[in-house]
Amino acid sequence: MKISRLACLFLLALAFFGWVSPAQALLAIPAVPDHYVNDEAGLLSAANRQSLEDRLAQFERDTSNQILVVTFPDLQGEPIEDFSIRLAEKWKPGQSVRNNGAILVVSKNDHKVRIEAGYGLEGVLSDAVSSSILQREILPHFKQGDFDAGIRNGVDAILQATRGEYHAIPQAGLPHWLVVLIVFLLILLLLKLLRRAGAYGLYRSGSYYGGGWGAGGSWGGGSSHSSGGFSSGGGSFGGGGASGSW
Amino acid sequence: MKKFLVFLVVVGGILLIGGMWYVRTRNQLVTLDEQVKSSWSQVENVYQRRLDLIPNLVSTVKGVANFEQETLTKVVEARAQASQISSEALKGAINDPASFEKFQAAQSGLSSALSRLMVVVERYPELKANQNFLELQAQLEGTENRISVERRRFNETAQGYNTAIRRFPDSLVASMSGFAARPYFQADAGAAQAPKVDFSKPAPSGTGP
Repeated sequence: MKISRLACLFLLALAFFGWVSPAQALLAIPAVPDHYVNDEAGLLSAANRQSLEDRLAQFERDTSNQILVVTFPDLQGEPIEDFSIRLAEKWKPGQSVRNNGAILVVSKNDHKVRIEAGYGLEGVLSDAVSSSILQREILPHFKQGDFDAGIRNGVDAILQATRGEYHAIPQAGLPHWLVVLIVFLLILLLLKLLRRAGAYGLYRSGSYYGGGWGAGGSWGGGSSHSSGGFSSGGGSFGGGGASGSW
Repeated sequence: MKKFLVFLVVVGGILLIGGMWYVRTRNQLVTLDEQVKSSWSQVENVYQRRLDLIPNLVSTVKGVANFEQETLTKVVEARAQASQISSEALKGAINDPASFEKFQAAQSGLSSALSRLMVVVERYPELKANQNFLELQAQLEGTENRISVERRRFNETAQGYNTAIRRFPDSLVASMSGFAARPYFQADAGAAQAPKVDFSKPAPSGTGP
């Protein structure tokens, strides 16, 4: 009796929670990286990789556009369009309100390359523009085995195409003059309080001027920019862009 | 008397909990249903994008001397068929499997006519050197890719919704409130293989460089 009831419960639990998704033979998407350039296939020289990384980081600071470069040795037979949209859906480059991300995906052994453009960049990085960047800037170099030049020129062209579409997101917070005013008023208030305190004897002890102005240097440090690498902004993609092969 | 009170409290409690559960489940189903609708409108958008692209493509290709008329005519006819479906019918297609089927059949007819056109185009070097045509080709490829992305997303949201309305006990709420299952996109028959084009016909004259 008891056992059959347990079995029933077990079956019920299975019915509720036993949703087993079928095993997938697709290449797993790596965790969201903290670099703009992710050279899994080892196509780039160290110096080139670093300079691209710096430029893409600077580009995001200037325009808030997040452009990623990623290379893979092999996609295990999956079409690059399918892989690239899965990648974009997981990594989500671009700000969530602007969807201004793009990814340059290269698969070395498949000889395929794709520009995946986020919704917000589809206007400037249209399918036709993406395709011509591939045909003119990237594929000719790839055909000669010069991945460094191909990727560098490709990134150049993508930056050029997307520059001006957006500008840096202004730092949230109070304007500087307001901060200065508030600090000034606070100091006045403090002085007034101190003076009142002085009436009760503090004034005579000589510590009046000591504390008031001493800490004046601490309010200048405002917003410090994190100099870290890529951190996903949550942009969306709809399959825009272009693919090519060499 | 006391027993009756206890009975009342128990029944009232059950009704309250049941009612809360009903409302919560119904709201969840409404949310899922709205997701299906919004992904359907994305599907409509990208198909519309393709319809808008075709007149340009056709007129560019037409400009080439001796372009194979039969292929072009098929594209134009297939487009006409696909655009015949009115926007109201399109909106309602997710409620009605028959019109959904019709929509899918018309679009897949257009897909195969277009992919045939793109294969035939290879025989005309004049077109492959035409900047305008290359741009249209890139746009068409991008649109086809968007179509496949939005179709997959639609199927995913429809699957989430269909699963939710069929799961017990939520299925009780679904059937009481009239939530109906949504249709899926099926893979196009023959989408996997490239269209066959008979290259044995003599290439039209006047297309050389």
